[in-house]
Amino acid sequence: MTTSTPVPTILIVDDDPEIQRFFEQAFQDYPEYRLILASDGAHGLERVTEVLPAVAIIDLNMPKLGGYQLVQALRGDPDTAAIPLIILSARTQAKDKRMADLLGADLYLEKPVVISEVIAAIQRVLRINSSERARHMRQIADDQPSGQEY
Amino acid sequence: MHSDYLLPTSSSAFARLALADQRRATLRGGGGALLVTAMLWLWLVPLPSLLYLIGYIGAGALMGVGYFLSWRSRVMTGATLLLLGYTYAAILLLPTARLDCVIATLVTAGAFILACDAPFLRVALAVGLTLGGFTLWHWPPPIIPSRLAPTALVLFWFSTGIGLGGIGWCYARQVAYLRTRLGMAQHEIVQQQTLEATKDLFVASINHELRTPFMALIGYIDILKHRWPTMPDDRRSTILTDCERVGRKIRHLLDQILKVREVQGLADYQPVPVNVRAACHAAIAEVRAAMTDEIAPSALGDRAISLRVPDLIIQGDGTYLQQILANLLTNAVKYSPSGTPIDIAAEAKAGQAIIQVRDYGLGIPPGQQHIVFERFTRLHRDIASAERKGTGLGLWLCREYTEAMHGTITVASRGIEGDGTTFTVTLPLATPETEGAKRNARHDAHTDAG
Repeated sequence: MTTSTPVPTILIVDDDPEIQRFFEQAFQDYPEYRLILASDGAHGLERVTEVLPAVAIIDLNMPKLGGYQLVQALRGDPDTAAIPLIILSARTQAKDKRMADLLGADLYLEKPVVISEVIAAIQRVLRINSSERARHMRQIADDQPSGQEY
Repeated sequence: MHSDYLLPTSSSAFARLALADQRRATLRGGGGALLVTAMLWLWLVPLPSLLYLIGYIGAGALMGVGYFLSWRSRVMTGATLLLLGYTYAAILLLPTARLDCVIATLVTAGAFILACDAPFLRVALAVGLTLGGFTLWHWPPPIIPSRLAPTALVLFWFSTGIGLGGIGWCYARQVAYLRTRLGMAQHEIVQQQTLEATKDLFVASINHELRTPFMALIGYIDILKHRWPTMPDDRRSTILTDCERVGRKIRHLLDQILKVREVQGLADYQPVPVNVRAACHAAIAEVRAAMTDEIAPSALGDRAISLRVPDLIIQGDGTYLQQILANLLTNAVKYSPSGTPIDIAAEAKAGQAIIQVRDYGLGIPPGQQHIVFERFTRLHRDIASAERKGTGLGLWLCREYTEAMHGTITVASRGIEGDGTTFTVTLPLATPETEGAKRNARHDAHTDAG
């Protein structure tokens, strides 16, 4: 008797159609993941609650609901608080990375990145367990930011 | 008195305003005082000796040079000479002391003090009064005949008061001028800071705009590099097509950025007659081609374009006009929902061609309309929008092209969604002297339209 491991779902929330098309192409080479796309923050929030993805990759500049707001909403909901979150943005300023960290994002990727880097990031955040994340969030709450990734 | 300086439009306008005002004030205060003083000397003062005559001429010369220098903006030197001239004259004209004269002087000077609001003028008059009182009580000169003494004294101090007032006025204007210069410096600093902030925003915006398509492009190339041997032909073809499309987008963005430099030489062109209708057709074709390349988010194909443009001939540049119309059309497509119409209309009025491009989209809030033609400027609602990406250069380029052709561009919108926006470009019509060229342009128009 064999047990089938569920395919991890990767949700990509990005409003840019070019990025969506690219990920559709790129994930064809990674059948071990199931790709779901959302075109803005509000849509992304709906999709997260529907499918509870293994990892959500979120852009920052989006209509309706921005990336920060989405991260905040997901971390604030007990049902979604444990989902690993990766920010994928063209914003390169340190303050954006700091903000993402404070809000509870697990990793920050700057565009442009190639698919292998995205996959490496997914594997990395999947290894973070909930106690590590909780410890990191407590550090932030205590206003003692580690300034380091896991 | 300083209200003229409150709303400067530019630094040079500021400086011109300040200098003109300073000169007017010097002429009013100083010139009047000089005239009154000269008349008093000629009418009232006897010339007991050649020495006094030389003295008067010397004092007058000092005052004249002082006023001239003040008027030429060398206020400190001018005022010093004026003061020396008056001191010299006072020594020569020391009159007999009388209490009624002192009271008259005080009343005259007091009236001046009340009439003037410049602090320096008050100081100058106060000094004048002190010196006058001291002279009257302690140093009565015996020169003027007794019957003329009261009148002469009053008029002398009257003129001295005006003279000192003139000096004070000059100083007050100088203070105002310095304040103006300070205001100019602050204005320039604010302008510089605004420009820097706008540039930062532009760089951040361009950074974002370029990084996103570059991510797709680099990502596709990476896929091709690693999967090429095992990749099915149809997938390879799809990816290559995607690469080309993304590359075109990047080129379009770079073109927009590079146009910032091009506009520096816009005014150096040879105006020729340009057919407005032909330019409209060319602009529509240009935008349609750009839409086909998916550079703009929505297609022009589903838009009903109402073109009500007669055969108007303007005096300008065909490329500029086409670029203006193409940018306005692209804007209309970008800021109005798919399927809504776009109107292009033109008419001749008072020697001008009035061209209007109207959409039925979001509109522009009245409070933000004044910034839409500024370089790198985008409305806040558009900065975070995925559908309405941009560099903030399109309308600025429109204004630059229009002004290079001695025209104007304006925007009208009630800021109500669905009511849309109307851009109006006004350009000078070709003159009758260019009739021959006009016929050629009309011929070109028919050729283009065909």
